[in-house]
Amino acid sequence: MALDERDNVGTVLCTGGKSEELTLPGGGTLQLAEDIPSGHKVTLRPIKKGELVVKYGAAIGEATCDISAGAHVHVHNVRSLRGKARGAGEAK
Amino acid sequence: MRTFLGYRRPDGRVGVRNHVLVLPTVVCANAVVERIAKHVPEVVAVTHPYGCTLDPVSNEEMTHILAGIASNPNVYGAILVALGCETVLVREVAAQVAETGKPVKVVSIESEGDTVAATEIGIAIAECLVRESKSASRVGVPLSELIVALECGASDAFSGLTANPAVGRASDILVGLGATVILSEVTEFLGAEHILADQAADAEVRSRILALVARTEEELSRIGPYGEFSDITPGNIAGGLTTIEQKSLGGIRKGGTTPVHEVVGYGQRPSRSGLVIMDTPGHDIALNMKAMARRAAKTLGMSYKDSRLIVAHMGGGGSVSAHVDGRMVDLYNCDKEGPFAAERAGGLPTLDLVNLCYSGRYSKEEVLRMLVGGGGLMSHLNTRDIREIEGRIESGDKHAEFVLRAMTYQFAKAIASFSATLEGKVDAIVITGGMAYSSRLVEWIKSRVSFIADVLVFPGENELEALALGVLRVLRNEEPAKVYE
Repeated sequence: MALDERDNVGTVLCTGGKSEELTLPGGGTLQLAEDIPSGHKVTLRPIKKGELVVKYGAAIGEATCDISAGAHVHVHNVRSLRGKARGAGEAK
Repeated sequence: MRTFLGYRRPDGRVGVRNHVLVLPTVVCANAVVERIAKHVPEVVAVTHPYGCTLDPVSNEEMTHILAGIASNPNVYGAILVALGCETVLVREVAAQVAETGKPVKVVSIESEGDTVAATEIGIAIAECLVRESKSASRVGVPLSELIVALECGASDAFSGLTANPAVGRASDILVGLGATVILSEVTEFLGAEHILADQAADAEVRSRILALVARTEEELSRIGPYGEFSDITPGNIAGGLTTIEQKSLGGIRKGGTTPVHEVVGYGQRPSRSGLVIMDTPGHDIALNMKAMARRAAKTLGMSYKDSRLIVAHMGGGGSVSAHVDGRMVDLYNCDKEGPFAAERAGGLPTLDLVNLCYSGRYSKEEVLRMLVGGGGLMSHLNTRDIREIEGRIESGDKHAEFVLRAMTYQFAKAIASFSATLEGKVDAIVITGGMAYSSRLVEWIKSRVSFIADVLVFPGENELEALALGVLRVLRNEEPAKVYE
């Protein structure tokens, strides 16, 4: 599910298996590149390292590496631009 | 015009409940309050760890906040239970509550002689007030007199997609009908404050929202070089939330889309209807530890900057920190290392943990749950409730005693290790958090670490006080405010 047309990530509602095809709300399909647990995010299109990850029409962080379409988006490839990332000066 | 059924109080305000409240003015009176509530189950008892500090500003705030709770229109009448020697003066709390015109009674343990007598009197008064309260009846009241406060609860990735937007729709409907909706927990705005600021009704509200978040972020970032305290919890992460921005963007949706008309302080009444933001924090162990460290310094007659302290926080999670030069310089965070706590496993043998993870028997989520939420006392004794565990120990449960001793041993080791960090020069050791209410637990730790320094015990969580005190230091020019750009 993607709530805003500006979003480049969507939330997987039911746990999806690798290669599974999901129907996108705006039409079209997306093939999962890997297993993605329910409630977790998936890229709707490729995202480059350093690019902003957009959800709810706003930035929720930046990609720490290139991410292909249909991939799992979470703490291993996204870092916050706020809070402890700012204060500690150390990216996760 | 839409109406709701409410209780019209003597001061004109309207409540949706008709509680008889039993409230202690100080932590020492908690036991009496709990016993009254046990005998008179219809009352609402609210216990707390506050009421006696050396800081006059804290006392004033605490008086105001306790009076505010008792003055709430959901309360028919209040019984305040005092010890008699505390710094929060029950007569001042009672006077403020009495201004509302509702019945307020005071039971002072020292005046009655002891806790047994105070409990007996308290029970009699409570039964009487409960009987009286039944005479109150509800009437039709315009919705413009309804105030709804929103609270967050354990976010996961779906909160921002389902629960919070649904509450947001309800907020919009209520505001549209003239009610007041209060959004709070400023730590849950981080990353989304620009959206709230854009929702401000005017420039003044806009700048207050941004200032509020900036101050909170500054407090969070001053946790020393490690920045170990995550804005999102392991539970959030397991549920799919990746960053504080994602959590906050989802969280603020519960306020809805109407303009924010006012920003009020903690415990301050909104002066107008519509969507209002109140300055309250989420729960924050880091702030509590710093607050406890400052309080310890004050108790010792020193400034926080000049003191050398070890602080052990023991709650559901836990942490032990070393403080010097006004900063936290080292830390064990029970989420991932150090002693085990009520529901955290703490540090574990690495090789065994790796073998467990790759054994094929458990998913990552299951392993994480063993470490956070299902670890520590919870995993050994199937409970995280210290009172229940102490009950078991008193009934002769040797295993429960062994596990609790093990936990205190681990905390004592962590505390002692920081004496090296502070080069043996330690002004005080502070034990805080909910578990510090257990004198047995505190004594067991003390027996192992009191050779290092005096042990000060401040039970409970005081992060709310910490934030309030932080703002006051800025207002009193004791500290510069950090400007957030």
